[in-house]
Amino acid sequence: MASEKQIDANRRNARNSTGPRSASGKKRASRNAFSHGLSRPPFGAEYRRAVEALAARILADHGMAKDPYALASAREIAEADFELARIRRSKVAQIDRAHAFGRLEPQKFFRTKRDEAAWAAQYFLGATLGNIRPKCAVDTLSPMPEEEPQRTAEAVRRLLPDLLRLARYDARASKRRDRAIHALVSRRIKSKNG
Amino acid sequence: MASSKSKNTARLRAGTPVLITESVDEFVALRKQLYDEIRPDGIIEQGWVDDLAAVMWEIMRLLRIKAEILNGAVYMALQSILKQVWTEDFENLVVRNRAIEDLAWQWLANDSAAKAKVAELLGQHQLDDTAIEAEAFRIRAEDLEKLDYMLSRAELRRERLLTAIAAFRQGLGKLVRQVSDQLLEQVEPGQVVAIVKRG
Repeated sequence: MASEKQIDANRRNARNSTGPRSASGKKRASRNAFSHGLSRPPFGAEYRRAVEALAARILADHGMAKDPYALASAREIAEADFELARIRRSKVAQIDRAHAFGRLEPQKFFRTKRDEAAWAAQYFLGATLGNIRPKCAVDTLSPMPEEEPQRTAEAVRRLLPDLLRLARYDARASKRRDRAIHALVSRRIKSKNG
Repeated sequence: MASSKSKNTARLRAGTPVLITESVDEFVALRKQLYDEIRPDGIIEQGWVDDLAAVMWEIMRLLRIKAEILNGAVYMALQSILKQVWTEDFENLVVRNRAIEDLAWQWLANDSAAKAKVAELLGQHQLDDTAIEAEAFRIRAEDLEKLDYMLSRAELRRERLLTAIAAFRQGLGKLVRQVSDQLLEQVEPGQVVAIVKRG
């Protein structure tokens, strides 16, 4: 168990951890949850229409077309269903892109933005930025195998952390859909009994 | 014709987990087989069976990739082991590394002389080919761990989908039974006999 002194020290340290301070840091952190854009539900009239159409089909299948309470569950099933399809498409698109280019992030030519600026100043203006000598980035990735199935395997291997993240989104969407289906079936049993 | 086929493929791929390098036809065949066996009734069951097909496709892909990841590390693994076991004196480090690279390539290309040389070098230290496999495993351990985690999640998802379909059908079965029980309660015994006879 932590002593009083340790707890105080932790509190003091925690007060220093107040997140990013610079404008660029704040901007970057504001997009933390949107690395895949999958935690954000899609909007738009077309999407809403598709959700409503699928929800109506689900209700019709269960003979509950006129049940307003079941509609919420049906909408949730439809939304989760579309989300699962979106995650699946995203997974395929990411692997296909890594298969084509060997990476998702564009290749870096300079170590830092400052190095890039120093090079640009030197190249275009003939000027030097202080004493900075622009340093080139070293590409540590080995070339992609040319042949199949090694190339696909290498693409997936390089993407494993991203694919794990997608698997978590997938699990959440699946659970949401299963819960909504359970609610719909329970509602149907109750309304038949009632 | 070709463009309509590619359009069709693009349409199918939009909703399927098929990569550029995989066969859409094989995935469609897998899904059809599942549809034939499970016979989904209604849009919810169809969604589950589609999911099941996607999850099974992913499991098959991950198993293939697991083997390929290990195979892909064999060259590196062999080089790493040769650096330890090949203690012969070389002119310099560059020449030594070059010799190791060449021997590893020839070994991978199934060159019998290279195979014999590697076996001899390993034998000098009471080792055999399993040392290469073990080193490949060590090199890719982190990736394989992640891959195994993804595999276990996919397998868990498959189990859950099958359980969900069964539970859903059981739920509907219970519902049908309740409704039929209620209907039977409303009719007189004589009527039931008449209904069965009319059956």
